[in-house]
Amino acid sequence: MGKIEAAFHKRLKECPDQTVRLLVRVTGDISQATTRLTELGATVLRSFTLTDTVAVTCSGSTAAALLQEPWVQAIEEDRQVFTQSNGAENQGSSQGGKHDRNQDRVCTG
Amino acid sequence: MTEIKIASALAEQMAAPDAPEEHRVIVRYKQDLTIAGRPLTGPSPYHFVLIPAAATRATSEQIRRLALNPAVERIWPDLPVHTCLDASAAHIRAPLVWEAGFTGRGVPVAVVDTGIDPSHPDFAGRIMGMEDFTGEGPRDNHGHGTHVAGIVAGAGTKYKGIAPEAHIYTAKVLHSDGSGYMSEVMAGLEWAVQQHVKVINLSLGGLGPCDGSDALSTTCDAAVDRGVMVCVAAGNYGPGPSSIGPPGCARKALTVGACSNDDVIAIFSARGPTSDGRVKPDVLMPGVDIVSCRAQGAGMGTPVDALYTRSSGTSMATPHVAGVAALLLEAFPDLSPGQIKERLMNTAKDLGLEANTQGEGRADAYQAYLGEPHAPPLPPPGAPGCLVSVLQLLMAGR
Repeated sequence: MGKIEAAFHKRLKECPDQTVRLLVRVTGDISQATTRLTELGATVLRSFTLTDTVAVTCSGSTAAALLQEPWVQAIEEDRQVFTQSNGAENQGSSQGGKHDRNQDRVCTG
Repeated sequence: MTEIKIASALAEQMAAPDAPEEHRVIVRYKQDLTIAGRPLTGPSPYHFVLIPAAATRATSEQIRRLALNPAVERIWPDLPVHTCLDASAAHIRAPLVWEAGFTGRGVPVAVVDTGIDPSHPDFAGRIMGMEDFTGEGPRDNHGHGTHVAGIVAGAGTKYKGIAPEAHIYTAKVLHSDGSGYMSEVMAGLEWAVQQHVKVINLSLGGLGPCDGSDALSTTCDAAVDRGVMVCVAAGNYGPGPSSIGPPGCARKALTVGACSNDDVIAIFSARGPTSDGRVKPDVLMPGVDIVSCRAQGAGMGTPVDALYTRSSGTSMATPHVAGVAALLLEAFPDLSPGQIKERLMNTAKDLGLEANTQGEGRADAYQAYLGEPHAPPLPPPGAPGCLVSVLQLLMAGR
């Protein structure tokens, strides 16, 4: 697998001005990576030491540019997650779960 | 006379303006009456053998006439019953582990969810840490996290959680609308690991399919590598194949699907395989109509009363496993997360479903405690859990 999922990469290229939430997996020193991400125009939200990952927001074009950085191991969208309870009203029927609004996003840039 | 024979709840049902044309009723007869001699109304009645009674259907007029018959002692409404936490705990045989002396006492468990209502009496004195990663504060303004925590470790009299003496840590990572970002959940996971918890419950998830390489799933695996048992919901996106989403695809976490208290798979329970071809879920647990703690002011689920509410989902199945993990860790403190996972899977009751529907089957607290594989399927036992309470109702003559 490459650094990024093909469909997400396509969306970044199609929407270079749209702000995206990313999870950037890095190699090497995570504090240096955090500094570098800021220099490249990303806003760092959190960094994670268990998996050497940094959560950021940035434009689609910045996200695409990050792929060129050798210390960037992988980029993925910071996707939404949901509680997995149905409520009694959905008992016994397939509710189809809740929906990630990111999937509906259209390019506005 | 007839009023005395007709239970008040049934009389109210009959008098209601929106009363149905027919009522489901249970009729109790005089003790010495043969089944053939029992006066009835509807077709295909079910005759009980433990008590002189039969379940049938009758119109209001037929009920009044039945009540005039000297062979009839009492007529009750045949009320719907639900899988309560008291029933699901019994179904997975947690009380047998309690009787053996293990209640999860002092085992630190983290619920990474919508927070918790710390004022709920069922958690009194056992909330050891609360952290917020949403900016809303650590209190539960949704209700989900409180319900989940109640299943893991509530200490109510009727609705007792699986590990009622466990220590509770809560990381609020989902907002008041029940959603959050993977990064917020990852932050909660890291915090829980820093608190040195032994078990983490994640009753949340995103859309599938997934292969376990996403950041959230790999964070779950990293927590397992740090010695923490991580239990994750399969998700409610079933019944289509490969409907499990992150973090349900995490390789080292235990992924939990939902079944009813009759061991019937819940249709909403997400199915495997993962997109890299692995079997998931790992086990099933009860997750239909579970009554557990209600957060003050929260409207989540169907409220039972001020303190409890009922809800369904793999969110409700997962904390059953997290609670069992706490019981096992009290009994066998040296078990690694991998060993707990293996134990729960190896001792699960095979429901005879496809592997990507049931995993190894429905997990069983007592069998996991014994560490022995589950015996081959036996004939179904007598009415469990809340069904017992219906019989008690009958016997009590209410």
